[in-house]
Amino acid sequence: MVFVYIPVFYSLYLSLLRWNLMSPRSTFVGTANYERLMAAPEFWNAFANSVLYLLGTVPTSMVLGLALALLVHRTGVLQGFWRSVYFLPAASTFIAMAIVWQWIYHPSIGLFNQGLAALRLSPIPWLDDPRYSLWSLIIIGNWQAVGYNMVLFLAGLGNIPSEMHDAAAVDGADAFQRLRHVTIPVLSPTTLFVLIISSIRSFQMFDLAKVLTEGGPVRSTEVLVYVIWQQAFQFFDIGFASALACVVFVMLLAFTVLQMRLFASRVHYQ
Amino acid sequence: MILSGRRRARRLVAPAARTLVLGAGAVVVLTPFVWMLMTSLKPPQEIFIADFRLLPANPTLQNYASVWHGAPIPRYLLNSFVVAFLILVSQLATITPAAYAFAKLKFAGRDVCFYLVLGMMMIPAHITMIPNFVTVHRLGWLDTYWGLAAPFLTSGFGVFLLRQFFLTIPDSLIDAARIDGAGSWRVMWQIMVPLAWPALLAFAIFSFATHWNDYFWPLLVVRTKTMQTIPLALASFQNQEAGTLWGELMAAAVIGVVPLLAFFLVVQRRFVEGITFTGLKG
Repeated sequence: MVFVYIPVFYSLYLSLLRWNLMSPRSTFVGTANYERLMAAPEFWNAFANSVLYLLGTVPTSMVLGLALALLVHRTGVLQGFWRSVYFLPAASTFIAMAIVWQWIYHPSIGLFNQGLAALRLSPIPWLDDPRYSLWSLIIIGNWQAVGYNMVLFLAGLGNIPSEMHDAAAVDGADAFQRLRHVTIPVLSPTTLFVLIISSIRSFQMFDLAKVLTEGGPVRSTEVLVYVIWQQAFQFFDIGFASALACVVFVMLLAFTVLQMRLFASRVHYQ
Repeated sequence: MILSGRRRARRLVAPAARTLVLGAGAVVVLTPFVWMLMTSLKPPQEIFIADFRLLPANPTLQNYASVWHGAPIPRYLLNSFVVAFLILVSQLATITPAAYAFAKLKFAGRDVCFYLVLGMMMIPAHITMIPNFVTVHRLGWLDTYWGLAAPFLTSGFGVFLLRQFFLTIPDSLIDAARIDGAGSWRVMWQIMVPLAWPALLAFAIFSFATHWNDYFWPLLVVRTKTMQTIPLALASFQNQEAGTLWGELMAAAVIGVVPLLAFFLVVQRRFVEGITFTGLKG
């Protein structure tokens, strides 16, 4: 508790200071940091990148995760096997796999560009071109999140009593109708939960941007948390970084509440 | 009759189609792992060739040997283990009494306190990191195991998870123990904990994996090479070698992935249960 609640207020306080972390002196500057933030192109650029990363990872990894869960759910004895296979990316040391992806994206001898060459297509500068870099990270984000979401959906599917399906089948509903009118509505609490945690995780992406691209090229992968880190621990602008952290926190909170409000009426609890 | 024939055909076709789709998906998901392993077994001259070859022509463990001799790998493994273990022990020791109190005891302000704990789960680590860094810095704990573990000594999520589990244990069991003269402390350790071990185990696995994997906080706290955890060591190795020693980098990645993956495969079912707990009840 000490390391969670006190820091929140402390963060708020730090965001009102001008302080470089090293010097014993700090100056109270009121809301100046927030004003600087709103005027800073870095902030809006990072905001746009974070939103794009979120939009690129959350919907696709949720739809694919649900589709996989529906397929895996009916495989009987092999369910454990498929579940393990698809969960592997989420269960491995993420930094190690990020480095593997960097190798796959290698401009000349990486797996992807060798594949493109074999198909007589021109290579793509995956991580080295600002037009592709964020999308390359989005691919990794999806690769990692799909299995995780699948496991969550599988847990939700396990809670649906099979009588519900049988009853619908007796009433003459075909497989698609059962999916549309039984499975998806009953699964809605799980779906809302997956939506909220995936969004929070996506919006806080940092590791990939730090390890693979250092925010570049040309700031194309600078996401919000990366900028917080950079401002605080590279430029030692603690006030600015804290102001940004507070803004990100409020955004996340607002976003979560919004999702709950929007979807609460459509979620069916049993 | 025609209809039943068609249905029988579908009963045969559907599982085959399902396996086909799942198999194709598995190839996509597993490709990075296979590519990592294959590259790590190739000598440099096989890595830097333009035409695609999956299998190494002359498989070698040379990359592993260079990585192992070039860096104190056991030390990194130890660092990761010590930090994750410190966090785990402290979390278990704090969440158990807290969860018990929230589930089974009545005291003034209980609900307010519980909401505060729930709120803890909602606050992302990135907002607390700057103040926590300042605190740890002032305490002189930079570059120590204490500093690495400090922000995670308890877990709001753990309290919540365990409380939900304790709530399902009937009060009559506790009352019976109390009549026999057991105090709260004994009730907790001798009745609640043994019953709750599936939840405790699931949480333990989840927590251990999370902190084994953490990159962000160690990045701030660790100053010297000898205190690096596995993710940090991998990242700094990548920083030095990017673009040159891909075979060695992949060998390092394999070394970084194997402990957690082996652990996961052993406790696979519990781990998934742990995720499920977090998923549906968090």
